[in-house]
Amino acid sequence: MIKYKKNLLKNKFFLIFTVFFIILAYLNFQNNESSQEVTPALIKYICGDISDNFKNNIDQEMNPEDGFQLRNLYDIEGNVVSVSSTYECNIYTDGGWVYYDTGERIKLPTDIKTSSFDLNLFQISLLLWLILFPLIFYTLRMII
Amino acid sequence: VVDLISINFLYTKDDYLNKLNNYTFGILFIGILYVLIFNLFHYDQVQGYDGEAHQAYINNFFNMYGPNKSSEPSINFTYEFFSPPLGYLFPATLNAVCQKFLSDTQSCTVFYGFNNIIFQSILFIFTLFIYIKIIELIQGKKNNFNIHVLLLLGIFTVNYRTVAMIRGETLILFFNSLLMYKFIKLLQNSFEYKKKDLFIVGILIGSLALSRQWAFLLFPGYIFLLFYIKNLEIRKKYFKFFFTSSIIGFITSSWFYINLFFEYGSFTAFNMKKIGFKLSNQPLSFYVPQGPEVGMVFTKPIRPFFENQFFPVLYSDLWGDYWGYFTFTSRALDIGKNQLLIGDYLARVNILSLIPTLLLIIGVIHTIKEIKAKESITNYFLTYVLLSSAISLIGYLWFLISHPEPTGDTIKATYIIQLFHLLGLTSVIYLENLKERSKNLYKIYIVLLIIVFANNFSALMSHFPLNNLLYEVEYNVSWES
Repeated sequence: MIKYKKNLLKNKFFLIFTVFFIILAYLNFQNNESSQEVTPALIKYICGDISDNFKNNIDQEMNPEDGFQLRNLYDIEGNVVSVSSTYECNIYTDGGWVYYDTGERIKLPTDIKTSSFDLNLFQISLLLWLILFPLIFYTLRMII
Repeated sequence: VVDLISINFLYTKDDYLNKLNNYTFGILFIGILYVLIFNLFHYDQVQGYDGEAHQAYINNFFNMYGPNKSSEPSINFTYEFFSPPLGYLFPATLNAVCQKFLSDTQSCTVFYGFNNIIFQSILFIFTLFIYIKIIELIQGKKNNFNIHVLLLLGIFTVNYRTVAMIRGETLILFFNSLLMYKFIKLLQNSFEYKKKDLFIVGILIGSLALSRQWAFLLFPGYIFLLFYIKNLEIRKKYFKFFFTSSIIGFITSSWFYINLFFEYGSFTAFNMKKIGFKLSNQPLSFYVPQGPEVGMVFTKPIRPFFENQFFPVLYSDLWGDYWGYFTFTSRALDIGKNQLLIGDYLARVNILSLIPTLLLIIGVIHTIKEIKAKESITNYFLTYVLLSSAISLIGYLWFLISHPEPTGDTIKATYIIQLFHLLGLTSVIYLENLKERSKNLYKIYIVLLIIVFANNFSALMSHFPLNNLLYEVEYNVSWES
């Protein structure tokens, strides 16, 4: 009976851990997915505006636009293209030309809030061992 | 009526003795915990053997092994380059996380040093508990409060120095205890194993090889044991099992030694020049203690007395603190306490430690007799313990003779700590048997061992003042949202 309870506890522990890691992996995957998306907000940020034709999915010729300042767009491999109209810029960014020349992806500026607090050695070590000790203990229980 | 009274009396007496045993276990265990916690606050890992080189190893760990490995040879980072990486993995990971998210280099050194001592202390306590489990398997009965393990294996002064320093030897003790546990379990199952067992033993072998090179002295025992097992069926299964798990162990650990070979031209690269094995490399006094200073083992067992005399130095470093790393190392000569008195105290420690030393010797003799008397599963295990003890001692002597140091600087009990633990196991088994055979003699031994434990208690502790750095550092945890 005791052995059964112990096994049950052991199984529960690993079930909880497995679920925890699956959730973590899922969240990570979700983040990666969303960070790869080209949103209208990102297109607007790169091109300055979104043209009506692009919004309504209407084809138009790519002629230079008066007042539009010529700008370079880069893809992930570092290829460069110069766009001369809002519509042309919208088309390219939507197609994935959303990188800097360094290869880094352009991100929307967000309203960043930084939270912080100071911990002494004992507090931070306590936090560490609250996580590590059960891990070491249960790994050992698996062997013995 | 008399019988009934005596039965009642015996029952009460046994019950009383059990309770006494449990209380003694509790007190001893609290004593060991106290020493470990005391050393945690009173010892800086940099004061250990080659402390700076080990810290350099940790600080450059990911330059040597990380995905962005540096093209420079590891010897440029630390002269401990030849040491396998497992003992440094935990502090190096803490250091990397700390430097990235929490604080500056100096504070991170304190952070990983402090937590590495906790880590090694936890491993040491687990090691003692695994020994208790091993004895339970051998004796075939449950005894969670085995005072023999604490009195014989927890009493070595060298344990506490090893745990307080940055040393892979703590890992050797831990992994070896686990390996021996698995080994005896498999023996008792006539080597009926699952794939999981193969994998676990393989990983344990690999982990031992990646802890310190001294662990290699524990492997030949398993090979030689093959010739001792007469039962063909078990021998076959035993060979198959260890051969397969050794391959897993080889795959796990060989990369480090192959790397050493490619970088330095030898699988056994070292930071001292090897001059080849010749007995004449060492003076006669190395092998046979001699001269007027030999007596100082029991009057002033600290350096530089009886310099480079193998057994006196090893004995003094096992029970006392011959090299002074808990009291008066050259790095901390100004702060080590009790420096004037420590020599006299350690002399008393060495005198009283003759009792557990005698028990270690009796344990070996008793084990040899047991093995000769009959072939059994337990005796297979004991044969392994004896073989590994002998090989560890011979291997260590071979190392000392091949790399002679006039000051005997490489004679340190820490390097060969596994030997004392193996010998200790034989003594524990001896005491377990004595408990059944001769209760009075057994009680005398236990009382004497408790006295030795009490007398040696101060030797187990660091004699350095409170490490103020621990209270001065701060870590900033911040995140963006």
